[in-house]
Amino acid sequence: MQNKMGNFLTILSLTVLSFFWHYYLLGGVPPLMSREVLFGRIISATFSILVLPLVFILGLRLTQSRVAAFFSVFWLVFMPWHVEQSRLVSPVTAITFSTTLYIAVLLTVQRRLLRFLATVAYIYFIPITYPTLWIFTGPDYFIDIPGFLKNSFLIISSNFLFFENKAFGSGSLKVYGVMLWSTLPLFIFGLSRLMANARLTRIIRLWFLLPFFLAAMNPDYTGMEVFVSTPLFALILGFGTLTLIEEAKRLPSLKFLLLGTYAVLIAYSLMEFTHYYGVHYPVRIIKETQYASRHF
Amino acid sequence: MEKLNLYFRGVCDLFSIRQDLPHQLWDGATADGGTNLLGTRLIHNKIMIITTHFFRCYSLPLDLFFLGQLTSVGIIVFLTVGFFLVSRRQRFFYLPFLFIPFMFIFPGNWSVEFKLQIYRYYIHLLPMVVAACLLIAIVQRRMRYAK
Repeated sequence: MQNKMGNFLTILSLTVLSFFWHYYLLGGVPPLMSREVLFGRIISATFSILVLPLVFILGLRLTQSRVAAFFSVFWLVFMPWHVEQSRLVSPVTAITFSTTLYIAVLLTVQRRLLRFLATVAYIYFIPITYPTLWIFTGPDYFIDIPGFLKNSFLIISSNFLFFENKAFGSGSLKVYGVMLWSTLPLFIFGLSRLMANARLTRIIRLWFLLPFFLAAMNPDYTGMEVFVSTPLFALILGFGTLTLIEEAKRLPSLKFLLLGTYAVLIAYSLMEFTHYYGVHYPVRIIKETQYASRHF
Repeated sequence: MEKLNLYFRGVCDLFSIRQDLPHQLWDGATADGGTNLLGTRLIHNKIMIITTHFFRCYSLPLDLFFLGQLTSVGIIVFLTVGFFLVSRRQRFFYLPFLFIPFMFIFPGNWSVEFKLQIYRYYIHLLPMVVAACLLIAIVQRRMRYAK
């Protein structure tokens, strides 16, 4: 009973805190080009908030650890791509929510009939939640094998994942990847821990591989389809953080010092990202918009 | 895969990081507006700019997209699968991957083309070593079963 209460309070506090993070200055950061856009941003932000309790539940289910679940939500809230899309009129936040909900149902519900119904509902709602997906809009041509391979390698490159993500075009943060570069060690630890669990890897593989193939086969490649996997990346980072904390508990003092330095680096990169998003990103958007309006 | 991206040719090394430093500092300070000097210096300082660029330059030669341009997809796939099939001791053959990025970051006397050629030789030699290790493991297992 205490555990359930603790979990409920953790989810509640995280969701309430994320209200501030997602809705504060939604009309100002990034700058609004027209008032109609604000409604679209509210919808994106709402779906992004709704994903958070689901990620917490999934983290609890996968690791039985409230710490890992908490950090999974934490890393999703501060994931650069998640922040970028949750505060724009984004076509992918709704499908990300429905996909995360579907995965949560698959992992928590045992009855086959309910799982089947969930699958049918999920597939039925894909065109509604993601109407701009390229297979619905009809491609002008089909990609060839070299193009597919190039897109595949772009998606799994460290540059896209940790340093430079331009999937959203001119509205992208650009100087940040999908995740913060300082979380690379956490990603490696978390991935190896996740892959060790054979039962889970089947579902997890689907969660990444399907968006991956959709993105790689898109003739007009942007990589936006991979956004659906961002809760999965957050879960991996959460597992990695749990692994690091468990290792830190039984380490001699020198390694503990190294971990302390790493923690300072993480804190710094979070501060740097928040500063960039709040100060530099709006300035860049305004200047780029002014330049485009003058020259095009 | 298309020809090796010219962006990499000599751009991501210690010299280019140092060249970009004044621009990054100026860009950061200008956007901040100069109202809070301490805050600006805390966020935009040489240590962190160099650290970020260094990690980016380090990850570039290990990037699968870069490797795909340097060699064939088949070799990359074989090397990845081979890593999981060989024993822990034999994984030491992959260790040079961790040190090769330093060859590109620190300029030295070698040209970029020469460094890329060394990297290419290593990537093409490694599958042969891995294949030999796997073959030896298969033969040993068969001999064990034959006994």
